[in-house]
Amino acid sequence: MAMKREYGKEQPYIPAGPFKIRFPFIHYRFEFADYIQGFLMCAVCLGAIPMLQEYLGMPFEVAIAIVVLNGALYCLHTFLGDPVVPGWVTPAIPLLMIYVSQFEMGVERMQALIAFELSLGLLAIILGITGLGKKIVSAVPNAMQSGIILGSGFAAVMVIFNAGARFDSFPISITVCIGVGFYLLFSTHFKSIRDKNKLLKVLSSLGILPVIVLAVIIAPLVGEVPWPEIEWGITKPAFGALWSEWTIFGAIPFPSLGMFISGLPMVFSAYIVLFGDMIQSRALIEDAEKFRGDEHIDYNSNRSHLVFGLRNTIMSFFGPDITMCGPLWAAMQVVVCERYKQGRKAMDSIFGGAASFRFGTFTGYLILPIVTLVKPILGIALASTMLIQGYVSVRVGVMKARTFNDLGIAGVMGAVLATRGAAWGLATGIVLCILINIFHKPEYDTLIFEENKTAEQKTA
Amino acid sequence: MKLIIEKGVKEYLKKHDAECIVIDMIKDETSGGCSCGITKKYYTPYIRVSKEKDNMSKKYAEYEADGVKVLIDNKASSQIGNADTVTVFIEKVFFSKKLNVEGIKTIIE
Repeated sequence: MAMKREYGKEQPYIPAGPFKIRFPFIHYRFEFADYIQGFLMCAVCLGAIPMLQEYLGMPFEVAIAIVVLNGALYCLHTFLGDPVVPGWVTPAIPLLMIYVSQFEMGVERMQALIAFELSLGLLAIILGITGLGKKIVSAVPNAMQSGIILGSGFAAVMVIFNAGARFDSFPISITVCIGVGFYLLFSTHFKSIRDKNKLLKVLSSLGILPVIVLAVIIAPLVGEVPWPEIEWGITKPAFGALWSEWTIFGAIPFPSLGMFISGLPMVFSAYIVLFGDMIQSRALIEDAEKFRGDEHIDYNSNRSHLVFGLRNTIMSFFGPDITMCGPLWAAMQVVVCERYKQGRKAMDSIFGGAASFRFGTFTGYLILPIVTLVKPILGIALASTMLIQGYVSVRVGVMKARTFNDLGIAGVMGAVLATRGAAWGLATGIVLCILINIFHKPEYDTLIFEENKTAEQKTA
Repeated sequence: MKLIIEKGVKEYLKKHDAECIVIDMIKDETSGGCSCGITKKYYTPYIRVSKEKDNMSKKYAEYEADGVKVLIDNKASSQIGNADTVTVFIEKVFFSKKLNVEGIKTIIE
C-alpha cells in the first residue's frame, strides 16, 4: 500500500540533495492503465535497434541490450523526482547519424559516439547544477535555433530517401505506413472525427503504434520482409558482449581529446533541440496541476537536467546509444497528463502514472514474442519515425523563426547542417547572423507572426 | 500586476525609434523527444519594440510603468494575476543587447 499524500501537498518522498526519491508501490500507487499504455508502446522504442545495427554494426542481441539498459534508465526520472515520461532526442538522431558516419565503422565510430554522449551528459549535469541552460539558449539567435531544428528535419528525411537508403529497401511498406501515419497524426479530417468516436480517440492516443502494427501485416504481404518467426520466452539481451566489445570497459579505448572537441558542435545542436522539452514539460505539468488541487507537483528543470545528464553519462559508459537520452516523450506525457486530469481515481499521483508507463515499456522489451513479432519490420518502423519527426521538425523549425530574415538564415543553415554536419551548419548560421543582423535595427524587421495576425484581422 | 521596467529599456526604445514594447505569445510545439503522437500547442512570450498601430487594443492589453508603454498579448494578460510581477530588462548577448521579459508563463492549449 503506497504512502498517503496530504491533500494539496507533494507526493511523499525521501529527500536526497537536489533529488526527491520515490520508490514504486511505496511512495506512489502503481497505475495499471498507464502500465498497459506503456506496454503497448514498447514497440516504438524497439525502433532504435535498426539504427544501432546499421550505423554502429551492432548485432541484434547487443542492440537490444542497449534498448533494455536505456529502458531501465527511463525509470530514473520518476525515481529521482522528475514527474515526466522521458524519451530520446529524436530530432537530433539524424544529425548524430551523419556525425558518426564521418568516422570509420568500428572502434573509431564507437569512440566518437561515446565522446559525444559523455559530453552531452556532462553538459546537462553542469547546466543542471548552475541553472544556466536558459541563459545559454537565450543567447542563441532565433534564426539559429530555427536552423538547427529545420536541419534536423531535412536530415531525417534524407537518411530515409538518400539513394540506396531505407526507402529503396521497403518502398511499398514505407509509402503505405507513412501515409497512414501522416493521416492519423496530422490530417485535419482525422482531427475533426477522432473526438466523436471512442475507438478513433484511442487510436489517436497511440501515436505511431498503429503504423507499426500495419507494417507487421503489410510488409510481409508485399514481400519486402519475411513473416515474423515468433519465439516464446524472455528476451536475452547480450550485456556481456555489449560491455566487452562495445564500451570503454572492453574493446573500445577511451576517446581522444580531439574526438571530444570535434563532437562539441553536435553536442550544442542536440542541447538546443532538447531544450524545448524543458519548456513543454513545465507547461504540461502546470496545466495538469490546475485540474487537481490534491497534489502539488514540483517540476524543476535543473533537476531534470541532472537526471537526463546522468542517463547520457551512464549510457556513454555502459551502452552508447544513437538515440540519446532526452528529457521528454511529449506525446506520452500528454496522454499521462490527460488521464491525470480525470481525477484521483483515474491516477492518484502524476509520479504513479509516469512511472507505470515506463515500467510498461520496460516489460515489453523483455517479452520475446513482442520483440520477435516486430523484428522484421523494425527498419520500416524506424523510417516511419524519422519521416514523422522530419515533418514535425520542419514545422517546429519554421515556428521558431520570428522574422523573415530568421527564416532565410534558418533555411540555408538547415540545408548545410543536413548535408555537411553540425560544425558546418553552426558556422554557417553564425556567419549569416552576423552578416544580416549586425548592428540590428528591429524597426526594419518583417515579423512572420505579425503578418499572420494581420491576415486574421482582415478575415475577421 | 506589477510591471517593472529595468534600467536601459527606455534608452533601447529611444535608440530604435520605438513607441512601445509589445509582448506576443508565439505558438510552439514539440521540438525534441519522439514526436510520434498527438502533442499540444503551447505559447511562449516574445518581446519586441514597435510603433503603435491601429487595432492593437483588440489584441493587446495596455500597461505602463516609468513612462514606458507595454502591450501584452491578451492570451497572456488574462493569465497574469494581481500579485504577479512582470519585468522587462535588457539582456547582453556577447556584443549586442536585446530586450527580454520575465514573469509571463508559458500557456498550454
